[in-house]
Amino acid sequence: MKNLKLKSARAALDLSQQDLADKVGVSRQTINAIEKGDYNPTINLCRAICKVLGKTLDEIFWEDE
Amino acid sequence: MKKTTVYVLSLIAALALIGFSIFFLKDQFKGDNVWSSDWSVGVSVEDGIVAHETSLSEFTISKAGDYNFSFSWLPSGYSKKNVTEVPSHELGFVTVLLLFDKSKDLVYATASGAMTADTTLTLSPGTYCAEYHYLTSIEQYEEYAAKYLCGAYSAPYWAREQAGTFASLQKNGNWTMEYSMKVSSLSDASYATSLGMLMGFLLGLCLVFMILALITKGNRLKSPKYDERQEIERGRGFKYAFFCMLIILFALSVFSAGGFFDARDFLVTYSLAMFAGVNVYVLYCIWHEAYFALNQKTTYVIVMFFLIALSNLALTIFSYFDGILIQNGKFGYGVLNLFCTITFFNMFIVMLIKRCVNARSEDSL
Repeated sequence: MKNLKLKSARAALDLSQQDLADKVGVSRQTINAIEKGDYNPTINLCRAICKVLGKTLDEIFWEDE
Repeated sequence: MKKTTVYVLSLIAALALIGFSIFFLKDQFKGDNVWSSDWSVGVSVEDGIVAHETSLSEFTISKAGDYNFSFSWLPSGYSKKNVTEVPSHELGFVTVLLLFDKSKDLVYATASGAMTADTTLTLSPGTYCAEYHYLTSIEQYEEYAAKYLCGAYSAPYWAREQAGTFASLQKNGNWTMEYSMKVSSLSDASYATSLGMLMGFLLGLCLVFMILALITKGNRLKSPKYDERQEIERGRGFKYAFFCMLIILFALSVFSAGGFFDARDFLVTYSLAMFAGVNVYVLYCIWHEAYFALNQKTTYVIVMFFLIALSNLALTIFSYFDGILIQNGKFGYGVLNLFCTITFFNMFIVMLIKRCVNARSEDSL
């Protein structure tokens, strides 16, 4: 399932996939895979992404009912 | 690790390996001799009779295996280099070599006016006797051929055909012939060769490491860093490569059992499986963006792979024309260059395709 919350949060901060990847310390393809729903990140990576985007885990990674 | 430390360690390792390589190569040239002998004989023919009729030599084999049997007989003043210039038609006799085992069973036989030859014989432990005879007439020649070479039916034709090249059979005269015979163990030679190859390979690795250290910018050699998704993909790549190797080896043994392929051709069997595994692993990783580390420059690597592929292609072509690629109907060590060429070209092409795919799906925001 696509992670549109992550994409919109990133866009809100005017960050490209590469920018976010550099700040988190992963490859651009990994961010792309997370946004497309092809890869489920570990809790550590989720926390790192949330810290950069200034969001909570729930806001980015919790599915809506 | 600091660059200077890398230089020093690589230099020490390279020097040590050069020393080892020289030691093993030296050993290869001197240590495998089982038996050798050189002698000269004055052969005189008078009225078709040779004064010096037979010459016998014995040697003992202690271990079963493949042996290189090298021998030559040449008139005085000639060597292996100019064996084709020997005027065989002027000799009044033909030298015949017979090799018997301890049960007097024939192991090897040949006949010629002058020759040098190397052949591989599979010998069992025991004593072997090499007999040299000197034949001066077509009748003797025919008798010899019927008994040892081609059977009674074709012997007369063979003898007549061969005798045509020795126009002076039964001619009187004196000739000084230089004889040489050497038996060396191929098993021992292979052992030294294996160690020599291993040392050469390690030496090559050291040199590559040194060159990389020289051209790497910055004071430290960076170790590759992969993110968690890349590590998972690399693990999957290893798994697929492992199963690919198993399947290839199994398939080759099945084809070998059916007689379509000779699995004892270890060079092709193992290198085919290895390169297939490497291809699966590398191509899978490239396609899933897990080949390059986060701190690696891709353009430099792509160009380098293309150059490596080109240089291996050149080596493959050279080895083909030098006859090293295929020897006696089997692939030689040149096949490794061929596999390298295919692998690096595969990598180069898949990297380019992946770049194009990525460029299309690039998401700036």
